[in-house]
Amino acid sequence: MNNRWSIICIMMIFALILSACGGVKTTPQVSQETVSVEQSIEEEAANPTPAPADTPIPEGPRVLKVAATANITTWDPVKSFSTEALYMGNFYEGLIRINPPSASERFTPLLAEKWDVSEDGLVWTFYLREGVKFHDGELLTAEAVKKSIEAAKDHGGASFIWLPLGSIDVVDDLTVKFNLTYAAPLDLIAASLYGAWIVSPKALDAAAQDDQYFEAGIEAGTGPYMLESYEPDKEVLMTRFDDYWGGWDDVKHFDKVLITITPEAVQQQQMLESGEVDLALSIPLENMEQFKNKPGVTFYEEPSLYNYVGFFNTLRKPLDDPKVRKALSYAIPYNDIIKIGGQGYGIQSRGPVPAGVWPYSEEVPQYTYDLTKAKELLAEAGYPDGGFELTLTYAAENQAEERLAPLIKDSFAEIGVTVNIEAIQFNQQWEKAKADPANAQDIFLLLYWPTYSDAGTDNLYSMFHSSEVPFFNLSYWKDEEFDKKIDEAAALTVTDPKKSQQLYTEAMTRLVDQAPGFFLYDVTAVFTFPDYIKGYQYNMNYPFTTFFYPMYTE
Amino acid sequence: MAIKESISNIQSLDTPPQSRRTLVHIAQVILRDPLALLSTIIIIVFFFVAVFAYQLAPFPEQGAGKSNPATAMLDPSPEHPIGTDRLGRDMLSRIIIASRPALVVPIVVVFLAVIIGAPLGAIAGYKGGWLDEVIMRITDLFLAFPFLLLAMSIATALGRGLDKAAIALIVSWWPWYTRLTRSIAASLSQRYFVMAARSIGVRDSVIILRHILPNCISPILVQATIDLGLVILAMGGLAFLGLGTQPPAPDWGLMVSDGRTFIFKQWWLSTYPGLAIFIVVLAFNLLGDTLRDVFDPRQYR
Repeated sequence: MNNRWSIICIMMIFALILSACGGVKTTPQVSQETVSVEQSIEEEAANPTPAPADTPIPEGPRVLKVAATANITTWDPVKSFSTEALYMGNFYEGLIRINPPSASERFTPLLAEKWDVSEDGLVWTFYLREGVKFHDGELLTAEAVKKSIEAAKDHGGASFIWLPLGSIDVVDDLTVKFNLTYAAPLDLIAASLYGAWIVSPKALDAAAQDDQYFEAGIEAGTGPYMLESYEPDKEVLMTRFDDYWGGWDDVKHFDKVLITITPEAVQQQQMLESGEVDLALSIPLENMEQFKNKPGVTFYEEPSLYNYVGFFNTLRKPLDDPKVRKALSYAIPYNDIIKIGGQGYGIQSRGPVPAGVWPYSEEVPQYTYDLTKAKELLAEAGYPDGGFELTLTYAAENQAEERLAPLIKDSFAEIGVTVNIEAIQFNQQWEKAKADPANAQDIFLLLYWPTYSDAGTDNLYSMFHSSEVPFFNLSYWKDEEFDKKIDEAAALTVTDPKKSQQLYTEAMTRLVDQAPGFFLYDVTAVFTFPDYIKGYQYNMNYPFTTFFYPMYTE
Repeated sequence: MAIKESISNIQSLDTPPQSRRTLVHIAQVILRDPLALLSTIIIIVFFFVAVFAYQLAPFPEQGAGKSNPATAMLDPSPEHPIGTDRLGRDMLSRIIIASRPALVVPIVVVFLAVIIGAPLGAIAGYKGGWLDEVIMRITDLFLAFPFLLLAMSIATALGRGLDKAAIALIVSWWPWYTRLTRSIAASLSQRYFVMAARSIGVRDSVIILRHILPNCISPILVQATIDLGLVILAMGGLAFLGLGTQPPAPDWGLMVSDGRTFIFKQWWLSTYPGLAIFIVVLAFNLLGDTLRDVFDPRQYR
């Protein structure tokens, strides 16, 4: 009996402490106002934990501490096609890098100093930088570039990006020529975050002998940082490469970068607020608001490559009727979806190409939220009161989809359409969609991004071009006019960009009109940086990495 | 003569320990113990809330899952005493409606676990021998895994959904009742009243049904009461991981999970559903303890 009472007492005390903590947190302004000056000084003295904003980086090796979700699925730069891009982007470099849309130049030369393309867009010549060293001491040569790209094309994780590539010629030590089988924007491909790293030939030879060569934590790039040590699922320590061709003199770069792998976003926020890390790369979207006007912190709201797309199953009644699909497109509460799904950080999409990415166009129309129109169109199609059921699948691990799927369900209910939501793991959702399209879901929600910055050959082709076996075209839509237009447009990307853009715009307009899918919103990337870290520049083309080299402190 | 004597001896020494204590007696014990009284009141309120959930909830539609974007993430106010969630649904209504699955599922799970587990345990304990070995080794197989881990693996294999989570819990729960029943049945099978029944040729099935199982009821009842609370906790755990109730249906565990990213600012989103789990689980535990006191003869010697 006594025992039980004491347990209850302990629990009560615990509950009291918890509620007290909560109370203080919710009313910080009130408590600050009521605390006298003396008290607050005392508090500061008693509380030696420095606020993150005014922590100067001490002399000695400058270490940047980062919390990130990124795990390492492979250390092999050729196979890499996942979250390890965060690290790869600092160990390795490609020939060139694509700049954010706001920059005056479209590309930054990295390992290639300059490049040119033949009139017909079929021959691309890259002139390499002289004296670039790999981390293992090898020198950058045309031969090394040929070897890296051939490996990527042969067995890379993103080998498909090199599809247009016919052969590579080594002209001399520092000149390399790419011969394409059809005209394609090779500059964009060479700037890809996946399957385009230039790797030391010595390491590639070793990897050819032993498939698992890199997995011991070996990297052999030319990038500014080297891998010093790592613990799986725990942390990665990078240290600067002294012989980096970009040099280390002009500003106070970071000597080391310590990345703590932290899958839980709330925990990252907590680490940032306690000063444990300088940067947290994924803070819960819901909590970003509080960083907006925080002193000592810069708040970024930038366009991104991501967008949310839904696919209607066009093989099934009644979704085989474009009128029904249009009606449903009018019944999607776009603004509420951005407000709640994206926590306000997004803009309504114009077709499947996100703003800022080629071939995005302002001329592509959008649907508005208009239930009257939706009902009219449904009546025209022979469903005056709706009266049909649809199954919607989404990836349960995606927080935004979890928030927005119920909004679609509730809105469709207003026009008499019942939606059954199925939240399943992405790979299950994916398998279900591919198994037998006729029996698959009716609506498939997807977060999409292009592998490299060409949404014409990626987003438009992958998601809506007809194909015998569906890959990403999960509306199973087949439309000759659309196919013809984007095939033509893709072939003209390099030689006649204007005409290509026009064709793409026409194709997207037809796409929106036929509505095989619906286009929710382009994701706005939001993140914060402390003001004492300078030199950072956001680049929407590389959403899976952060380049640490340009950052410095004063 | 001798037989008659011994039979009368047996009767005086060994009456079947079947529960003769009535509801009145249980009520007396509960009334005597303030903690038991409190837990009983909590459970009665919980039952009441669950049964009349749709009448009690201020916004029953939102409670059941209808979104209302206009009122998303409101702080507590007279209209929404504990605020609204990110889809604009009244949190109080959500918690009230969620008491339904929290009541029904544990009852179903525990009931089925008892139905499966107890007879197996009674057979194993009464018959002994190879049958006992087989049944008990099978239960060992299940008990070798940590309980929640087993439930999680089964739920993952079956897919998401409340029904699947319930099946997973039944599958991983029944062996506990087999064990419990077996230990009682094994000792009962050596008692004179069972031996007497056997000696006059009563069939085994009848002995198990009429003599063994009825005498196992009170410990099972005690265990089941405590387990009702534990199942609510386990359900919450599975739902937290996304394996139980599927949104937009309300569930306490799911609500704790949904609110956890807001824990720094809107702490009430996770705290109140968590508190609901805490109170109900504690109440079932205390009631189970009380029932144990009632049924445990040692306390009343």
